[in-house]
Amino acid sequence: MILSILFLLALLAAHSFVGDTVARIAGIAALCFWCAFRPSDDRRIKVFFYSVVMLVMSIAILFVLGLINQVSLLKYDLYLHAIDRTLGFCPAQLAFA
Amino acid sequence: MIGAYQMLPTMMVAGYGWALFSKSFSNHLLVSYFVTAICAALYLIVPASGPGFLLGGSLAAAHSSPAIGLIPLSYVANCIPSAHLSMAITIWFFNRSNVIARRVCLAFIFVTGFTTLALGEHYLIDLVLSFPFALFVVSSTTGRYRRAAAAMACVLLWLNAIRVAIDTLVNHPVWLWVAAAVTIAGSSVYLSMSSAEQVEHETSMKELVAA
Repeated sequence: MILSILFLLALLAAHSFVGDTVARIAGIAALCFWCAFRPSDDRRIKVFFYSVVMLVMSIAILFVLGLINQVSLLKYDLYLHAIDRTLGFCPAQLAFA
Repeated sequence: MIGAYQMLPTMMVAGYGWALFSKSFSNHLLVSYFVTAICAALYLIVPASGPGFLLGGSLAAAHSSPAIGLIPLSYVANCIPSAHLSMAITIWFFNRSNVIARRVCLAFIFVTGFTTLALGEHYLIDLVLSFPFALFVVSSTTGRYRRAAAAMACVLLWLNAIRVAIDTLVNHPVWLWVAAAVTIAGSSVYLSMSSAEQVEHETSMKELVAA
């Protein structure tokens, strides 16, 4: 467990230098980690299978989001921005990122 | 900070790994990943891209108050509710039996909430709605369908109110605050109740297997 946390922290550090696609691939790298540390456990096959399914699902969601964007080019951002302002929150408060 | 925001896929795999190798493993977490995809349909109700896309480079000077109206933005509408935060809450929920995993997941919830706002990916109200949406995901995957229906009704009520009654919401800041606070508090209470019920169920299942 401690090793897995160190691994995740290393991934977190690595993510600071890479893009979104690499971050998804890093998820599969995490899968390999779990497989490697339980070589005698049959469940590693499940982890592998489900991780591949998740990767396909994430690509499918991106595809669906692209379709949604085609359907609705007009956005409600000003509505949500107005609600945030009413709540007293402004993006500028955290804009240092 | 971008790295922390993009950690979600990794945490999904790690969270599943932790859940898979725990003694009380069930496929609930995996199912919840698929249930969360319903978010894509909810994005259609109030399509929005995020403050970072609305304000762009002027994010730091966003204290302006433009007139409320629809705006053409050619970015992906994946704003409300925040799937990132609701997924983080779900991963935490299904990893409570492991102390270290629970703490890591709890930290991940706070990091996700902070980074989504800081990077201009989500509005604050998106994060508010992610609580009832997470409750919907958790309740529907664990078979508590009435609770799931109530949570989804809450999300839909909010989305509908934003779409058709924005003036009422904006003109009553106190009520808006109360509604947001009740939404978060109510969802958190029911998430805690679901957590306790789930632990009880897992314990009884263990005893059944042992017998």
